Amino acid sequence: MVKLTDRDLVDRAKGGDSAAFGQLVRRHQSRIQRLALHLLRSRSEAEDVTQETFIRAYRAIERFDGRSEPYTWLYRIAVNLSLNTLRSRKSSRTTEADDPRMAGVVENASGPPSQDPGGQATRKEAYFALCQGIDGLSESLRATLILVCIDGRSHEEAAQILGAPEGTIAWRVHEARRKLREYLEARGFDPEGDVP
Amino acid sequence: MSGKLRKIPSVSEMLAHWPQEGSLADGQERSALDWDEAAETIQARIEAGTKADETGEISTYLTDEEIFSTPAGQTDKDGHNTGSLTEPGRVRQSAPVPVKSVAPEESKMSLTHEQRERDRKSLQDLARLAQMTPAPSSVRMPVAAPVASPSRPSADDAMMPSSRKEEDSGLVNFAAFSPQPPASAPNSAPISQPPSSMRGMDQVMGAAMPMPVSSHPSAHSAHPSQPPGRISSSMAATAGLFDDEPLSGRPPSVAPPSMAPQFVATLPSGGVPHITADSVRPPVSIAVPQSVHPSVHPQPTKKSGGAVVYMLGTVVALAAVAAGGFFVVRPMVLKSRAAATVAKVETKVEAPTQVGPETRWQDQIAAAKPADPAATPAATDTAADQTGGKVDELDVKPQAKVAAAPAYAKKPSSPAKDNKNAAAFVLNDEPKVAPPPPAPPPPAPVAAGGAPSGGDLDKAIKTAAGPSDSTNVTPADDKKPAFAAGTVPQRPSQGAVTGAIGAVLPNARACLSADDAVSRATITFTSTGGVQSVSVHGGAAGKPAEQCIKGALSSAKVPPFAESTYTANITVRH
Repeated sequence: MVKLTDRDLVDRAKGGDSAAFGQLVRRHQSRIQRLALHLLRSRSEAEDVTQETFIRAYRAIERFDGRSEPYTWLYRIAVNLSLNTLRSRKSSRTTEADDPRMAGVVENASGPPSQDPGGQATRKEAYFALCQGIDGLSESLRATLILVCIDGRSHEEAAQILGAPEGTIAWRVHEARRKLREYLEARGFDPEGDVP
Repeated sequence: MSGKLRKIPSVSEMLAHWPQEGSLADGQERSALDWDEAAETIQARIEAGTKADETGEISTYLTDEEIFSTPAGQTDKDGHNTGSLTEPGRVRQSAPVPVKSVAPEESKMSLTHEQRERDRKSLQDLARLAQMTPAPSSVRMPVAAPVASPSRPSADDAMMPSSRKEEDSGLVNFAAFSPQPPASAPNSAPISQPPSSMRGMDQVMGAAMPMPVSSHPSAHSAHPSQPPGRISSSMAATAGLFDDEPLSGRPPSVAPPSMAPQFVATLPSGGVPHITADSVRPPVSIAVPQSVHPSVHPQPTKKSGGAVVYMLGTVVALAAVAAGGFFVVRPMVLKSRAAATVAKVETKVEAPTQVGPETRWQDQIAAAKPADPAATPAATDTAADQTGGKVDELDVKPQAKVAAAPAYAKKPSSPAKDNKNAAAFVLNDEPKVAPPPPAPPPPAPVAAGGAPSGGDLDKAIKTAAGPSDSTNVTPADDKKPAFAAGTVPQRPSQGAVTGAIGAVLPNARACLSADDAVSRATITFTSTGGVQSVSVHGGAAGKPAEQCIKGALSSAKVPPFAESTYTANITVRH
């Protein structure tokens, strides 16, 4: 069976095939939720944003002109919804236990005891500091950093998603890294390989 | 510090290998089934057609335009490095605002672009606030006055209220602080003022302006921080925030007394009693309210009129100094030149040969000539010194010639007096002439050069200039310089040679036809400036044109020079 591309699924969804769109959801919901999770720092809100992203995309799928990849379109919707949710939030979570981004870190830190416990603790603290540093970034820097450095999108893809030139994306990534490096150094960490 | 830092992977590596959130917070790994379940939920909602805002899951509903807009497009903040995140544990708070394509704010720890703009604007606001600062109690600000010119701005206008902010150009309206006629005075009469378009000129000329504050003794006490006589032209300057008056343009507080009469004459008889005779008043034709106290006048613009007077006075003084220097220096220069001329001529000419109007200058020279011929070189040296050491060829003569010149039996006079007489001769052309000799002596030979003797001025000049005819130059003279080194240029200047050749080159070119080849000519000048020889090479050599070219180029002449000969090569073509 030939695997359908995203464009094929979108074309089918435009024709009323909800199952095709469901397949599109299964392809991208994990990444969309991951993106929303890093932006919102809330699992429940990330799940809501993920659902809302696909629902809004399906309702407006006729507006998709096909000039870009469908996932960039979905990412843009997710970022907009996440930023809107973030701005409407009245409080934010600062504790390590409440931060869903630290789930994987805690899970890995509580791994086999053969690993260096001191290193694990340092790693955990470093990631928590990194989370705080990311939260201190502006929305544009944070969204760009998450898309490029965490989600692994290229500068071109991030430019299409965020609607900014690639040069701007590159500058944002550099600026975000610089700020995070300085932030970590201020908290007693020495990021290797990052030349000030 | 670096020893205390804990080594961690790089930021890029940490971000790239962020632990997967595929596991839930409670450690349960989200399986593919869970993702399928989530997808089915989404699909069910799509089929049900419910909206998130209806269910309350999304607090703020976004329109399609908002949801498809660029979430983090290009902003003016991109490309500008901002501050670092130096505050640990700080979590950014965002205000619940609708989604816009422009990122709302930068890191709080950094100085954002908006903050910079706000700072720039604050400087303008500071100037306005300074203007709005109430004046000291000793100064009463003018109140709204029924002025005949409604276009005259008030102090409030200068403060630029918020209602006029859209017109704010960032410039402080100093014109708005021009004096206002007080209207609260019961007996005040309307003041006819020029239109606002003429106000600038009025301020410069000091016309139709109320009396300066400085004219009243209490004016100086209006603001103690200002020195007496220093009047600020604006309220902001009065407040000491800045000085709106250039240093060079600061006029004295009181105009010269010479200007007082005309101003006082134009004032009405019942003028303001505090006006003094030496206060600067423009020739106004206004009815000054008698009940107006000078202290109610706002800060004046008297500085403009005073500045003009001050500058005019300075210009006149400088012109007078320059004229004085000119009249002092000019006679000295002429005197020195005349002395040099006299010394030269008297060493060249032995005696006047005629008595007549055309020889009166020789008599005058003789009258001004020193008795001792030895003083002549000194006079020449003095002339050379006073002319900056630049001596033309007419002033140059060998010392031997001076020594060989016969002594004149004239009345003694000091060299200084001679110079003065010579200067008078040059300037007035009516010198005190000595009695002419009783009989013209026979023409005497010139000491050198064989120049014809006589009383003609041209001949005397030619004599002084030396022999210009090559026939007077012996072959022995060609071997050695005819002039002492240092008195004439070592060799003719390039400009002199070019000019001399250029004067005769057209004649030489006329010797060639269009078909003749290019010829080169070598011209040898003697130290006297004449042409010693001309040799022609090239196409015209051996042809009749050669002689023609030689004849044409032989008429060239350059100024005398020290070296025996000077050779110049030129190209002659049709």
